[in-house]
Amino acid sequence: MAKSNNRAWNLEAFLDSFILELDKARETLALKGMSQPLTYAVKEVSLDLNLFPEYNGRDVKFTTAGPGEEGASRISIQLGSISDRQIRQTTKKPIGEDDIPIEAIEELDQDAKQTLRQVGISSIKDVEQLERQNVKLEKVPKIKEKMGDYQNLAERLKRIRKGYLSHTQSLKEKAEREGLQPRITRALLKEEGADKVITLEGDNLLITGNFQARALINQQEVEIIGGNERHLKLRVAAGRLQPGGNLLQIALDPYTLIQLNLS
Amino acid sequence: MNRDKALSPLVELILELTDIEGHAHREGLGFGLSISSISVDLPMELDVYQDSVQEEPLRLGVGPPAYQMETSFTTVFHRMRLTITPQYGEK
Repeated sequence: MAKSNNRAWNLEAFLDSFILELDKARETLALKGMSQPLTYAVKEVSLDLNLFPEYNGRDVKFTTAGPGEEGASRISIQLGSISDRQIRQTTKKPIGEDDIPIEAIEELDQDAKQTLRQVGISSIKDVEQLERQNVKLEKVPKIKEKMGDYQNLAERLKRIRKGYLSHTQSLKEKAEREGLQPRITRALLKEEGADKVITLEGDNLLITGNFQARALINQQEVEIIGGNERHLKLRVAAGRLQPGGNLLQIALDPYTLIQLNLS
Repeated sequence: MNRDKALSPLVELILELTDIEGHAHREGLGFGLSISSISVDLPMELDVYQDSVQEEPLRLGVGPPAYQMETSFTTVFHRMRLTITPQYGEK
C-alpha cells in the first residue's frame, strides 16, 4: 500500500506536472519513432481522482485521499491531443522583457493580484491593451468591488512600468559602461585667446549620447566644448588653473566619474 | 518531501504501456491484424509530492495497486484511462 505523503496542492500545479510527464513521454516516443517504423503514442488521457478540496478564502487546494479516508470528492480530468497551431492560437504570448507580471508588483497586495488574474490580467501590458479597447479598469464590477481602494489603478500601473523601463535602461547602460572602461592616454593644454583648452585623448570617453557630461576643475564647473569616444575638449577660463596641481573631475555619464591631477 | 518509493514517475508507466512492437501477425499466413487503438483503464495509487525546494514543480508517483488482499482499511484507488494509438514513422 502506498505510503501517504499528503500535502495540499492546487489544480494548476498538478496539471502542469501531469502534462510535463506526458510531454516527457511524448518526446521519448518521438525519438523512438525516428528509428522505428511503428510506435505507439498516447492520444487521450483521463483521470478520476479522489480528493479532498479545501478553500482558504483565496485558493482552492486539494489533498489526495489517503488509505482509509472516506468521503472524498471525485474530480475527473480529460486531456485530448492538441496541435501546435491550436496551442499557438490559444496561448498568450509570454511576458516580455519590457513588461511586468502582476505577481511582481509590490504595490499590490495578494487579493488585488488575484482579482486581476481572475479578470485575465497577468501583466501591465494587459492593462494597457484593455485601455486601448476603451475598458476602464475601475469600472469593471469585479475590480470595483474588490479593489475599490486602488484609485487610478491603470495610471498607477502604467507609471510603474514606465519606471521599470527607465530603470532597466539604466541597468543596461551601466552594464554596457562596465564593459567599456574609459582610458585616458594623453592630456594636451593649448591657449585660445584668453582661455585655455584642455584636450584629453583616450578610449571610451563619451559613449552615451543622451547624457550631458559635466566637468569641474578645482571644484568649479568648466565648459565641455566637444568630445566623442576618443577625445574630450574643455575650455578653462583664464586664472582657473593654479600653478602646482589642479584637480579635474569629469562625469562622463551617470556611471562614470574620472578624476585627474593636472600639474 | 519524500516520495513513495513503491510508485514510479508517470512517464515510466506510460512508456511501459506504449512499449509494443509491430503488428499482430503470423509468418506465412498472408494476412495479419494491426492495432488501431488500445484503451487502458486502470486503478492506480497516486502520490503527489514535492522535493524540499518549495518552488520545484509537484512530482507525481503512480503505480497499479500493490496489494490485492483485503485489509482493515481500504487503499484509495484513483483511475486513469489512456487511449494509445499507432504512429507510423518514415521507415
